[in-house]
Amino acid sequence: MNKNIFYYLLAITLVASCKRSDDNVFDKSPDERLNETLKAYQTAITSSPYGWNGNLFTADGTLFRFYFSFNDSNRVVMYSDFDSTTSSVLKESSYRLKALQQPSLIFDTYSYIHILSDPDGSVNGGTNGVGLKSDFEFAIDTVAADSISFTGRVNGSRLTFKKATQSDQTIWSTKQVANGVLGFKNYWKFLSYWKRLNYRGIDYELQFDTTSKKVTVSWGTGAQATSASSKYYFWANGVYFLDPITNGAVSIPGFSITGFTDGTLTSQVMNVTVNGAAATIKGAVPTISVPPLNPDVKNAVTRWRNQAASGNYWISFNGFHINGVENAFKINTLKNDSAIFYYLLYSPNTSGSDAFANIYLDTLHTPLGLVEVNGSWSKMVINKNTGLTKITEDSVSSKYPWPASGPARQTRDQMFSGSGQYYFVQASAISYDMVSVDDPSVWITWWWIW
Amino acid sequence: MFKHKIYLVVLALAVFASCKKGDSLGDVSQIPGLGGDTWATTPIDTWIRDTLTIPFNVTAKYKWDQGELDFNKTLTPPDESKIIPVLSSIKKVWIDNYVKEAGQTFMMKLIPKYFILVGSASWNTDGTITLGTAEGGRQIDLYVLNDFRIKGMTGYVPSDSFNIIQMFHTIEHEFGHILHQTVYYPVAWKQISVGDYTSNWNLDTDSTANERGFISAYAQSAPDEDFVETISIMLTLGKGQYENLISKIQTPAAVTKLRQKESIVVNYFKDVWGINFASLQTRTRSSIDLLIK
Repeated sequence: MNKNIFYYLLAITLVASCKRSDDNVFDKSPDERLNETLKAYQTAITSSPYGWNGNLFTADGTLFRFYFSFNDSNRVVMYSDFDSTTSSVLKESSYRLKALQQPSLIFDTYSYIHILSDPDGSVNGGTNGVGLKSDFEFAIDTVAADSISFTGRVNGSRLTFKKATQSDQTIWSTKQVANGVLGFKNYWKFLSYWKRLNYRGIDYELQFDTTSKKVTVSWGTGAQATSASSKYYFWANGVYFLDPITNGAVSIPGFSITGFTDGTLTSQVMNVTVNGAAATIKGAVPTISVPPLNPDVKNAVTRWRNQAASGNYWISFNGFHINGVENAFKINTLKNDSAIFYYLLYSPNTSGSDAFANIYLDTLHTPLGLVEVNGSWSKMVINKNTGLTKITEDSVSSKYPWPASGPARQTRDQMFSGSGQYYFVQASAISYDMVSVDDPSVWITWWWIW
Repeated sequence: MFKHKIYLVVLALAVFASCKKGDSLGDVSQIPGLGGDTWATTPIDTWIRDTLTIPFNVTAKYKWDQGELDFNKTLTPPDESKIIPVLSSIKKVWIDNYVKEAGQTFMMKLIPKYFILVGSASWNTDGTITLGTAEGGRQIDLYVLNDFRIKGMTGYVPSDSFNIIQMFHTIEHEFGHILHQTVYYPVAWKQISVGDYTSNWNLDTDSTANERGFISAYAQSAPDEDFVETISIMLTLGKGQYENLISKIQTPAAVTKLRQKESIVVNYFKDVWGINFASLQTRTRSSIDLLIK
């Protein structure tokens, strides 16, 4: 009879083992839940009565500001602070929400947001084939009552939506952002390299890096010298800082531009308002004894030299900027029978003389080669307390002397002219500006290409 | 024994019962994206449906879908304002002219079914850009639509005609493939330039290829490509510019080869498809001229 027991056991085991009860962790199927989520997101993005302010940080961290307003039939309208057109002409395009790996928002026909992703470098100033490393397909990360955050699906750019108020919408629609973009162009008419905002009796030195859209604000002297950085965007007729600058009880959220009066190096003035109160931006003239406010100037030149110490060098494509004229000597027009101007080079040397040379690209021979055409041996003496740097010419290269006249000669003469003293400023991650002390409207930008 | 049989029957029943799979599939109509992406219909969608989908069963995807494209490339979708100008140009230059010469049925049968429209160029690692690609005679990807400008559009400059001609070159090229994949060209074709085909075609310019009896550098890559390049360039250049190209060739043997190829193409169109190639060529080029001149 033992056999029977086995049959019973087997039968019971089979029945029990194959009991299939679908105990879902959730009370709905994945598809139903996905549809509900997409629907909830659809409701969320269309729910803001005055649309959204969007901050888009590219993969390199550069900030661009957008306005979005979505409707229920896959249409979106937007502004962007990219330029004066995108900030003044509302553009309509399409969008859709789609379940990719995550629920995603896709801007699926071209609009202002795609300008940043355009692989044509001439569209956005980025690299050909890459653009500014931005996105137009975004995975939805979190949805809160008045904000939504996204991550770009390809380049990992970050987009955050914040519910716009009626007055935010008005700032866009009355072209106040466009006015900011246009007004800021006047800022670049200042002849002096050094620009200072005077607000409530205190000078704040401004240093804008337009490539990564970052501003550095410096104030105070000596031990009190302070500096703070922020990303900036265009807003309300001016330029606003993502993180307001705070000096004790004073907070500077940015400035609205009310006017610009052109004039000389010292008489040019930009009228602005900060927190609604009138303030001015003027060109400044640091001297040998009174250095710029930016405390980093003290160390910048040493960093600049050290970075190129191991046989590398800094280059300049445009030569000197003088009195409002970029490439003042038109150095890029230089050429000879077989080669054309390529760049100026400065190679700091830890033992012996530095090299300052004029380099051409030999276009006649294959492979293309770089050739030195003119050059000098020089030396830098640095005041460690102020960063003041004196450049002197040790000797002219006997093999490659400078010509008697023309752009190359003018450049070399300018380099060692007057007191030959300069302040160095780090202008971006890959460039430094070398600004004359004798005349702050004279400077040259050195680029790092390594 | 009888008892055992009963047990076996019970056991069998138990097995059947136990393994009943009561797993319903759920409501399958709820799967998101089933049947493709949907969106509120726009005038562009209606235009595509009425102009291309209903008469020719062709669709044009202009909304971004990364899945259709190369994941390694940075690309952008097209601007909506370009869609109808591009597609109606394609219809005028390519579809309408083939319909006039070979009839509606011919075109409905052979036309590639998918157009994927991309706003930006496709940048290659060597700094060149790709203007169009095709997949298996079924799908044609067209790039740089955001720079598409024909006469009469704001910002049109004569150099824009280069992009337009390239676009039609791509389309006629790919359509040529469909033709010869449907009915093969005469074997005699392969004997004309036998031994001259090379995988290093990209190192040559078009004019050096001309001197070897090829209509373009890419035509040197294989007999099939040679065939469709010849069709496509003859059509997009038109008779006048084609003769102009031939007259510039210095090598008499190359001219002979190109003339042989020309006559095979013309006869192929006549014998296989009943198409008067000269007339198709005239129509195609004058349609292009209407867009650029």
